[in-house]
Amino acid sequence: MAISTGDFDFIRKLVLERSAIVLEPGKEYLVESRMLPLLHKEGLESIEILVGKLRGGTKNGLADLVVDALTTNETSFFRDIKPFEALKGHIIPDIIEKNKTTRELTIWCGASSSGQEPFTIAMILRNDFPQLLNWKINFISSDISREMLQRCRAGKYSQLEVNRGLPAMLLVKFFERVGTDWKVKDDLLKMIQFREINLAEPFPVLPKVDVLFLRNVLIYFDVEMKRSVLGKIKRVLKPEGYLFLGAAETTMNIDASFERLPLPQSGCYQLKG
Amino acid sequence: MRALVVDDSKAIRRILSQMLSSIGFEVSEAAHGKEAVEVLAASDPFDLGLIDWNMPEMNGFELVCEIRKNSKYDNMRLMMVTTETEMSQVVKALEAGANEYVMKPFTKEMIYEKLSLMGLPVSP
Amino acid sequence: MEHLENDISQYTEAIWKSVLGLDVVKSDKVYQPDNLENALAGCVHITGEWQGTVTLHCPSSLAKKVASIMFDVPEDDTQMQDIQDALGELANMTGGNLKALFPEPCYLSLPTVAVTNFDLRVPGSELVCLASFKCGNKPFSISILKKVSKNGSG
Repeated sequence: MAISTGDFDFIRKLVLERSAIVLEPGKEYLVESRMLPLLHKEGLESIEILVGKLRGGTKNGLADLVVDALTTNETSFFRDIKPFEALKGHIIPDIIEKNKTTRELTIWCGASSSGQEPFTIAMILRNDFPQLLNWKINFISSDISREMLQRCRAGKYSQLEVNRGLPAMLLVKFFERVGTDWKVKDDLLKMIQFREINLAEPFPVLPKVDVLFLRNVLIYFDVEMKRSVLGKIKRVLKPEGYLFLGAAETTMNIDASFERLPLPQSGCYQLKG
Repeated sequence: MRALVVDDSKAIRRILSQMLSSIGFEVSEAAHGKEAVEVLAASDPFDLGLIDWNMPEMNGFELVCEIRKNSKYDNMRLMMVTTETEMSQVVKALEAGANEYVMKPFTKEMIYEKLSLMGLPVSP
Repeated sequence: MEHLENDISQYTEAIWKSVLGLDVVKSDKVYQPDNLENALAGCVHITGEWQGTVTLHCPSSLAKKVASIMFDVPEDDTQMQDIQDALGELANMTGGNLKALFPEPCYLSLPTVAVTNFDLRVPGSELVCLASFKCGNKPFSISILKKVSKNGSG
């Protein structure tokens, strides 16, 4: 299924307006492959018909679905493992030491997607750091997609999803079966506050953040938007807070105030002292 | 690294063996628990066992119990790969000494991610 | 029973996609074996708190395709033994996944595969759910039969 230049431009503008995500020419294949399941689901025969409906504005919510399909990534629990090993072995112990008088910990996941990342972090906190049980934990997890946030709040995963990267021991401890699905137990679900935040817009008022996960998000933005987002992050992050980017992402040539920590393959940054 | 794949379906043995050998494992196969016990006794130690649950002769749960009785196999990581998907079965397998659990159907990604979780190398 | 039918669809789509890389779609047209080609049925029995049978019924050409993917050989080179093994394993996965929806404890039998161009009948059982699918242009069906005990308590 080939996409016409006009239809590609239309979708490109739509995604840019709604999410600040840049689809450069050459990404036609991405639009085509991501639209296929949506066309199937909506019973539409071609991208041309889909764009026709978007232009006509005849179906509410269709634009949201298109943006979601293009901005949501496949994910899994403990994705890439290394960042979570760094979190468990180095970062959380460090913050526990630093914040021992305030007994407060603030974590922000800036792109929850379907929730595997925030729930992975929550499981690590509960499973490996029982001493945090009587701390005040501000755990914010945000996304631009309402559909994804709804999924997160429900905390339900299919068998295929819990098969991906989730240690069986944690499945047993933190999930329960509900019909064909596996649901995150309430205790864990309640730790996290799910909020709609568009990173391209001014950030809402947030407590100063100890750990910020923003993996594989910046890659979608152009350099100006990357710089703007990192600028806002600097203001919300504690001076000694930690920022996680995707292993293939970098602040280099965009913002000189961050330095990458020597934690292997973790994509972890701090502000230069 | 050496792995033993135990499943009564030849198709599943083939698929799992292929996944493991493509990342450098040397793979042996057994069609049920009893055969697996024989293979174990006759070979050098294995680093990993992928074990189905429902099989003739000796099922995978019994095999896990049998393997964990023998301290000789303490370093062998055991992962159930089974169509048993009740929470109670996962619990039972872990309590018997399985290290990981994959519910069928599975994909290559699922198997590799679980191997990483068990600290096994997953590079082609 | 619509609920159960949805569960069957969900599991069947997941199994065929993950194991075989094939897309299957729900079909309104009930699969009926015809005289044009042989049909195969893979079955697993469930015993325990819930008793019954789960079957996967398909034309032999589809079973061949399944075996050729699982054994990574051309369709024409597939052996009957391998076709039975592959179809049996698909029935095992389908039945095993569905078993978890029934009251515990339930136990799964080893799969059996039969060549049959008739509707599959299991004595003393009644059909509780039938879902038909298409894989490309090939039809197949999944059915759940519940054992009806003599005293009627099921």
